[in-house]
Order: sequence, then C-alpha cells, then structure tokens
Amino acid sequence: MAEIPDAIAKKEAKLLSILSDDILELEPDFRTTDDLFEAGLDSMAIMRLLIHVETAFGCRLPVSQVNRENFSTVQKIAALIPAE
Amino acid sequence: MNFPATNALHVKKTDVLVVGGGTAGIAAAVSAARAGARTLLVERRNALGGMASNALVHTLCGLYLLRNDDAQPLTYANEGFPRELAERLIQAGGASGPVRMGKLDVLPHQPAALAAVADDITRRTPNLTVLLHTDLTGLISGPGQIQAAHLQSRGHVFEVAVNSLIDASGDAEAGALAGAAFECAPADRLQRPAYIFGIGGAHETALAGDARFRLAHLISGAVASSQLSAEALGVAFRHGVSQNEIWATIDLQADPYDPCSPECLTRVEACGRRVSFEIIRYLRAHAEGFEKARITCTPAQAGIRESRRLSGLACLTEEDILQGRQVEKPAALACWPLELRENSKGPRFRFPEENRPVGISLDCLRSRTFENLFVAGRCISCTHEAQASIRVTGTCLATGEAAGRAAAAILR
Ligand SMILES: Cc1cc2nc3c(=O)[nH]c(=O)nc-3n(C[C@H](O)[C@H](O)[C@H](O)COP(=O)(O)OP(=O)(O)OC[C@H]3O[C@@H](n4cnc5c(N)ncnc54)[C@H](O)[C@@H]3O)c2cc1C
Repeated sequence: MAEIPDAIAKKEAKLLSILSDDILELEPDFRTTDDLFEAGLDSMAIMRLLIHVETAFGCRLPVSQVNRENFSTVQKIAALIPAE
Repeated sequence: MNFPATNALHVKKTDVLVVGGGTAGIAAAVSAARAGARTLLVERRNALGGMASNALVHTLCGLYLLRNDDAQPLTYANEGFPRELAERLIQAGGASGPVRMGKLDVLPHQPAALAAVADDITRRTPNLTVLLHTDLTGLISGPGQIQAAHLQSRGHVFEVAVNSLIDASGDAEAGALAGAAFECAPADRLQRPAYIFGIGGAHETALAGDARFRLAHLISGAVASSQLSAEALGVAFRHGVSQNEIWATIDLQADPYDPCSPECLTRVEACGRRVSFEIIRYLRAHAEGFEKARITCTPAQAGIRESRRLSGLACLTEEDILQGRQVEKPAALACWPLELRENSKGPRFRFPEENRPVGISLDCLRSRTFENLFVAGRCISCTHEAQASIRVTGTCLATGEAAGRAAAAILR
C-alpha cells in the first residue's frame, strides 16, 4: 500500500528537525528538496544521522542504501525509512 | 670542572626572541633574522612545525586567494615566506598539489617533511639560533616593556635579555606569563580539539567510491551496539600525500573543555589514543580494504584549534573577514572562510563577500600591554569568530613573517 502523503510529510519534518537540531547548521528556510551535501553533510555527519534515525524511527538503514545519491536531500532519506 | 649537565646557555642576550616554533614562529624567526636581528627561536618539542607537524595536521590552508571557479588563475595570498615554504615543501616531495577541495584550494603536506624543511631553512639563516627542547617559563618586565626571558631545558634555567619578543606559542603563553591582556572564549564556544593519527597498510581503494559512506554506516552501527566508544563518531578519513597513506582525524567534544589545563589535555590525549586503537582494531576486523591496516603514527600532541588570544592595539573581527575589509598597508592577508567547529555539528564555512581577502593590520600583531611584545599565528588579536579564519597555516605563516619584520625593526 502506498504511504499517505500526510505520513510522508510528517516523516520529512521529523528528519529535518533532527538534521537542524543535532547534525547541521541549516538556514531556517532550508527545504526538504535542498542539497544536504551543499549544506555541509559529510561522512561524519552521516554517522550521527544514522544513529539519530535509529533512535527516532526505530529502524536501521541497510548499508546498500547509504550512498551519495540517497542522502542528497531530506526527501530522499525519508523515502528510505519504512512507514511507522 | 664543567660537567655537561651543568653547562650554561651561550646566548645571554638576543634582539628578538620567538617563543614557539609552529608555522608562525618559523616564519617570524626567519624573517626577523633576515631583517638583521640576532634572533633566538625556542620550541618545547623535538621538531618545528607545531600543529602542522607535531599534531599531524596535514593540509596547508589559506595559502591561495579564494577563486570563484577553477578557470581563474591560482594566486598566493601572501607572496613572501608562505610561498617560499610551500614551494620548498613541494620541491622536497613533502607536499603534493595544490588541490581543489570543493570551493577551496589547499596544499596537502607530510607533517614530518614540513619539520625537516623548517630545520633546513632555519639552519641556513644567518643570525638565527634555534633551540628545540626549550621552554619559555617566565618573563621579567618593566613598565610597558619585556626585558628578559627565563628559558628551561632539561633541568637548566637560563636568563636571556631580549629587545623584543614574539609570542608564536599558539596559546599566547608568553603573553600570559608576562601578564599581558588576553581573551579566551567560554568553554562551550571554543573550537573543538582533534586527535589525528596515520594509517598505513590499507588497500588503495579503501576510501574509493562510496567507501566513506560504508565506513560511516559501519562505525555508527558499532557505536550503537557499544562495540566502539561514542567518540568514534567524530572520525573522518582522508588520503595523505601518497595514496596508500590515510589520515584519520577524530574531532573530540572533550567536555568540560579547557585547552590550557593540563588535566583536560591529559584526558584529551588519552581519549584520542584509546579511540584510535579501538577504531583501527574494528576496521581491521570489519571494513573492506582495512584488513591489513595499522597505525603508522600518533601525534606528539592532540590538535588544539583555539585557546587564548592576545589583546592587541587592534582586534580583527568576523565582520572584517566577511566583508573582506582592507586596511592601509596590511601586514598580512587572510583569505580562508570562517570555519567554525565549536560543536559536533560539522564544519560550517562562511565565505567573505566576493571572496575578498581581508587585510590584517600590524596593530593586531602588537600587544596592547607591552610595547615590545608581538604576536603571530593562531593567537593574534582577533575575536573568537575571526580566529576561525586566521588560524589556518597559510595565514599563520603570513602573520609570522610580518611580526618578525616588525619586531626586528624596533632594535634599540
Ligand atoms: C585538528 C586540527 C586540524 C586543522 N586542520 C587544518 C588544516 O587542514 N589546514 C590548516 O591550514 N590549518 C589547520 N588547522 C589549524 C592550524 O594547524 C593551526 O592553527 C596552526 O598550525 C597554528 O600555528 P601556530 O604557529 O600559530 O601555532 P602552533 O602550531 O600551535 O605552534 C605553537 C608552538 O609553540 C610551542 N610552544 C608553546 N608554548 C611554548 C613555550 N612556553 N616555550 C616553548 N615553546 C612553546 C608549541 O610546542 C608549538 O610547537 C588545524 C588545527 C587542528 C587542531
């Protein structure tokens, strides 16, 4: 079953707040489609992000999904996280 | 009878005393001596280079003006000693590049090669005496003037009369010992320290393609399952001058942090060492390409980015840097963006308007307490935010050269 848009939006918002609270210095108008690498995401930040995702969403992303393409925006990372 | 262990120092008097042989101190001592001043450079460790050799910092930043794109020619921000040292390092095979990293041009170098090149340049400089294994332990001053220094080495204490003094200690140690005014950011705002170690024996492709992402996944999993300490989350890997050399840098939170407290430094060093060995053991067992990896070097000291800043006749600010403000007759140019590393939120770069370099006035290199006290390197007179730009080695070399020239010029 496809995820309902509301659930997707909620997931993206939660991820964005994790990123801006604990991982990166993001501008207040940073969007879920903006490039995270441009905003300073690097492998050190990804390590911490993975731990936060595990705690907040209760899931551990498989290594095959952790790559540059999948982690370039909040929207793309959110799409990797299974529906709650 | 003159027993070796009681020998006194031959130097009793010097025109310029340079305290600290990091990038700033090397530049300061060479330029003061070349300007004709009898110069003494003292360094407490066994090698010149400071952070850029003893803490294993392995990239020279701030040497080149910022460029909007690769099509623009590459230009040294400061032509004198910074360029000379960079070119000597490249010639000696101790640096390769420059290379473009994102929007920045940098020169990767071998820490030990920088120390060796510095030995060679200083040895060939007339009027200059270098003393390694020698600590400044005290200063004697009169009103507005520093008169003499107490140096200590291997159980000897020497007194040396000085005409002028350059604090290139990185931590404004000379200023603090003399009772000069200085500032220091509160503990929670100070740039974080880091522990850098060298890795050899990894496969050449160990960091290729998406390998850094796989390593991030592996290490975060190990931390989450308590197989690695949480500090391992601060680690980043980078190739050295040669492809089969890897540098690992662990940014440490180190709370409660005080870069001038021996208790804190002891904790930072021990933590860095422990986590380095944990990481390498884990990578050997679990990471592709790291099966035969081993630690090839550990630093003589952990990397300290920021501590005291000497208070000068002027103070360089964040706005000066972001606006690329010019001064009449700048002593040196700074061109590195503000790179704030106050917490684990990763590096934050803030670039100056139109990528313009900022002019550093000589007044930022002069103590406001003592007329004959100069300062160079990462502890010049600036705000906490501005320090996030001027601390890079290219700028330290430039402020060192300027302070050396100025200190030599006030010969009585
Ligand atoms: C982890 C880390 C990563 C960095 N990365 C980069 C980078 O990639 N590129 C870059 O350009 N810069 C980088 N920097 C910044 C840069 O390395 C330093 O700011 C710069 O090297 C400072 O040079 P300095 O000469 O001012 O001080 P230091 O290098 O700290 O040298 C001061 C010297 O003075 C000596 N000394 C101190 N007190 C006394 C005393 N009382 N008596 C005798 N000797 C004394 C010390 O032993 C030391 O050798 C980094 C810094 C850190 C910590």
